[in-house]
Amino acid sequence: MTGVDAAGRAVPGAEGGGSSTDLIVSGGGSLVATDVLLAEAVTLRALQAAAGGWRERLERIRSLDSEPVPAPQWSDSDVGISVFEAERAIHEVGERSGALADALVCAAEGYGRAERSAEFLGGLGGVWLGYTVGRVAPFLALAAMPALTAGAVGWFLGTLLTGSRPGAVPEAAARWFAENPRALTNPLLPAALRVLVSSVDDAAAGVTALPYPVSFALGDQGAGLLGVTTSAAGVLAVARPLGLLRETAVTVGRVGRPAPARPPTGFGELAARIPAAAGGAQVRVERYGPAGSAAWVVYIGGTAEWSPGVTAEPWDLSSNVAAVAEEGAGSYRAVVAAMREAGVRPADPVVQVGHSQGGLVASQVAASGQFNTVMIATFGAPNGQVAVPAGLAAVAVEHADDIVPALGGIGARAEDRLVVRREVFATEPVPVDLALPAHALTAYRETARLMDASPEPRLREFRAALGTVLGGEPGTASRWRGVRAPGE
Amino acid sequence: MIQTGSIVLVDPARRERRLAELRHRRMLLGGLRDDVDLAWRALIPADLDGSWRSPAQRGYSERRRELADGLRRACQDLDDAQTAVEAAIAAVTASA
Repeated sequence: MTGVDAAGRAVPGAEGGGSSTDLIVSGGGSLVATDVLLAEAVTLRALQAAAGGWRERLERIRSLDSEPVPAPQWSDSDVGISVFEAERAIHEVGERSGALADALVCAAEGYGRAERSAEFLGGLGGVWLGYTVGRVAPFLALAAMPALTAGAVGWFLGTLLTGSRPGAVPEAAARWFAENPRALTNPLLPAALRVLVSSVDDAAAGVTALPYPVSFALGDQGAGLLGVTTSAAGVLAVARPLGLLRETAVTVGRVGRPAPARPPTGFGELAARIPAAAGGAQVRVERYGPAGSAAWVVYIGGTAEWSPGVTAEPWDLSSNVAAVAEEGAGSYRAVVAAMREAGVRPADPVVQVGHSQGGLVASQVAASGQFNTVMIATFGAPNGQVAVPAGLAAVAVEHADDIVPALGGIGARAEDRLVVRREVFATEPVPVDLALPAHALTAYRETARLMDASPEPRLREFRAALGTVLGGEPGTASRWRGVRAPGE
Repeated sequence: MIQTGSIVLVDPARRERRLAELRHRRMLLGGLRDDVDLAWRALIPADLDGSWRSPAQRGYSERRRELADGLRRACQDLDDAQTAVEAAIAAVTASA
């Protein structure tokens, strides 16, 4: 495969690492494209332009002949006939490469549209299936389905990520997953989970004998009044009386002293600055420009504690479910408090960046309108259902083999954001010592670097807009840590 | 008296001018030939099998091969042009 450099020019001999380095970009309007197709189109456009230049050079070579032999008198050994043949071949190359580049762009658009259509139809099937099951199953069992589904997924993820032993996952199941590392990275699983999570409410609607068209109109694919949010609220309603997934007050404090920082220039730097260490700061705030006209970047880390009980860590399972339910998650409140403490004013332009739960919180801060969020980039976040304001430059990065973004359900408002997908372990072996390796921040950082090298025009526009918003002057960075107050 | 193609050169000054012109054309043809050859080599290693497998992919690969063939033909034509210029230079030089 011919590679492309950061400027989108063809790099002869540059080999991609198989399909695991391929990006699929969709949403954000009518144009959708795959990275490979687009890179090929760029190569062909470059060839087309080169052919035009070669023809001009041949014309010059022809004009240098002060004593040309007239064409009717050409013999096989005349310069004129060879130059003429070369010019004809180059003209043909130019025409064909241009036509082929046009065809590639059309194919890329169709490919992206097909992917979105498949997702929509999958969701439609899920709605219908959930509704039908709901009509025929006992009410009480189905009423518990939302809680059981999302709860089971959260509990299972927590078990995997904390590495906790039996009592949680039966020994046989744990062994089976260890022996079949691809089971949790198979792209079919996130796709199915996305439909399942989006459909549990439809099952409940079926139970209550709500007509199917009404259920569809109210659900994820319609008005969005029912869906993942109501499912998560159901989880909280069941869990909180049992002392689980409870929310508490949260306090926020700065960690260390502010440090100098340079404006991020691309997705690679944005992802690299997201806090990763459990037990440390969960939020990083960067300020650029003078007080009074400052621009900010807020980086929000992912889940650090997967226990359903209450601990000091606000980036926990409780916040995960509460955030999906849009019920004031501890991590959300901690981020808002940290931004205010850092000095972010409501009118200041803010770039939000987050991984996993941090991406969900970033989307909700943007959607709340409390701050002037102008750009947002999320990595592996279950935020498909969060409606970001129209006109916001939004990029959502989701690995096709990561099940966490699927927990956000089917993105009902795909036109509002640019979705970048990549299958991390398409051609590489899945690490057996990591739970959900495709969800790891390190994997998303690698994808972010690939995005920086992509010729995709909308990704380049996003990077350019970063420079416009943040400027080029150095700023300061501060780190913030939120802590739960369990007693309150 | 010498002849390049059907043109007969008898004037030494005119012969020198013609030689300089031919050498310049040879240089330009060589540079162009190298550039076309480079583009041809860049187009050859395309292997998209790992990216998408479908009749469309095979069709695209075929079109791409045709492009590479076109560039190869252009290289050969430019080689022929250079050979013809070399012959003309030799003929003019021999007449001195």
